Amino acid sequence: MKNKIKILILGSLCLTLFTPKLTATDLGDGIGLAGVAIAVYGIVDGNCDDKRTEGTLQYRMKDGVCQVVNCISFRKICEPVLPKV
Amino acid sequence: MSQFYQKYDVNFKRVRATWTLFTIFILSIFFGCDSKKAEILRGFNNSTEKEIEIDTIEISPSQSSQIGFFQMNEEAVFFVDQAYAIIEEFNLKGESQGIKKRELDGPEELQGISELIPTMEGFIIRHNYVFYQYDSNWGFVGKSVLQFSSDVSYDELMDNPKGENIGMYEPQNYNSKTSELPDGNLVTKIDVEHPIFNAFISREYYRNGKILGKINPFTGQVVEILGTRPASFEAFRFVPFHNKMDYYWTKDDLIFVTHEIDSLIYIYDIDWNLKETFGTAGIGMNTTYAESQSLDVAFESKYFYDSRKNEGFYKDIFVDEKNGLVFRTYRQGSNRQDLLDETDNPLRIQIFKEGKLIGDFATPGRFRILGKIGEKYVADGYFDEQNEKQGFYLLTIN
Repeated sequence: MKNKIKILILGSLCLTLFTPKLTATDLGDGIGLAGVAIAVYGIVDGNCDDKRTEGTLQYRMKDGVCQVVNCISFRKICEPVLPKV
Repeated sequence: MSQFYQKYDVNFKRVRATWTLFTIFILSIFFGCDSKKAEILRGFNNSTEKEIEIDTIEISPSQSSQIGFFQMNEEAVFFVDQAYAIIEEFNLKGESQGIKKRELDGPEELQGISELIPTMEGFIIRHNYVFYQYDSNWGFVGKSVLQFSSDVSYDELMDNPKGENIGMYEPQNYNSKTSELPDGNLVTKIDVEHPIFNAFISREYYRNGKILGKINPFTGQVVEILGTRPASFEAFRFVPFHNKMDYYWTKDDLIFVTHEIDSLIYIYDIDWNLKETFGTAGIGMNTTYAESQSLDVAFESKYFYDSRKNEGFYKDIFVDEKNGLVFRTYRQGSNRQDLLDETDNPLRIQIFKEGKLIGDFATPGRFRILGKIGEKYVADGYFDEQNEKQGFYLLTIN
C-alpha cells in the first residue's frame, strides 16, 4: 500500500515537472479530457439534429452570440435574443 | 535555420516599412490634400509608391436598425438590415432601387437573414440552417435545410471523432462567408465543437479538422468537407479565439486561404494540394495570443472579447483575378481597455501583386472588400450608430 502511495506521489510530481510551460497568456487551469467529456455529455441531445427539420433549433452561446450550432456542441444552451425591433 | 532567416527578414522589413511609412506620413502632412468624403492613403513597395482612395457612400435606407451588412453582385449593392430582415438595393451612387425582399413576404415565409449569397441564377438567402433560393428578379424558387449528415453512428461520433466525420461540423457564423462555386455548389466556412475534438483542448482539431464545407443548395446536403489548418498552429498550445480563417475561391478553382495567426497566404488547388504561399507580416501587430488548454475558458465570453479587441490577427481576403491583386486585412491589436468590440481594433489592408507586398494602408474598422464594379472595389461597411448613418465604401487604386 505504501509503495502504491509513493508511486502515486512520484507520478504526480513527474506530471507536474514535465507538463509544458506556456509561453503566452494561459487561461485558467487545465482539466482532464475525461472530465470534460462527462461534463458536457449531459447537455448533448442525441436526436437534436432531427429537430432542425421540424423547426426546433439548437441555440448555444458561442463567440459571444446565442446562435444555432450542431447538436453535439459542448456549449451552454441559451435563449436567442433575436435582433428584432 | 530557415525560420530564423524568415523571422529576421520579416523584422527587417517591418523596421524598413515603419520608417518609410513614417516619412510618407510626415510628407503627407505637408503635401497631402483634404477631401470631405474621400480618404486618400499612400502605401509603397521598394520602387513604386501606390495610393488608394476610399470613398464613403452614405445611403438612406427605407428602414434601418443599424444592425446589418452590405453585399453585392455584378451590378448593384444590397443593404441587408438584419433586425427588420429587409434587403434594399442601391446603385454605386447610393441611390435606392427599392426594397427587394423582406421577412415573411411571399410563399417562402422568410424567417430572417444570416447571409445574402449572390449566385449565377439570382440569389440565395441563408437564415441559420435554411437556404432560400431566388431567381434574378427575386422570385422564390425553393428552399432547403442545411444537413451535415453523418456516415457513422452517433455513439461512434461522440466516442471516436475523426476530422472526416461530416456529422460533427456546423457553419462558422462569426465572420461567415458562403459563396457559389463554378460547379453550382456552395462553399462555406465550417467549425466543429465536439466535446473532445475542438479548438480549446484538442491538437487533432488543429491537425485534422476541416475548414470548408461544400453544399448542394437544392438538397441542403453537405457533399464534401475539405481543407485543414497549416502547421503554423503547432507553435501554440491552443488558440481557440483565433481558429478562424477566410478564403477566396477563384473561377479556375484555386483557393486562397488566410488564417488569423499566420502571416502567410496559402493557395490550394481543388484537391487541397498546396500550390504556393506568400505573405508579409502586418505592421505593429500584437501577436501575443491568449492560449488555452481547458474547456472552461469557452464558457467565459470575456476571454473571447478581449482576444478579438486587443490582439492582432489576419482577417479577410479578396482576390482581383483579372489584375492579379490580392487584398488581405489584418487587425493590429490594441492596449486600450475601453474598446466596444472587434471593429474598434485597428484594421489595415495589405495589397499584394504576384506575391509581393505593394501597399499597406489603414482602413475603417469594418472594412471588408466584397467585389469589384468597374474600377472600384466595393466594401462593407460604414455604420455610425450614434448618428444613425450607414453606407458602403468604394476603394480605388491610383
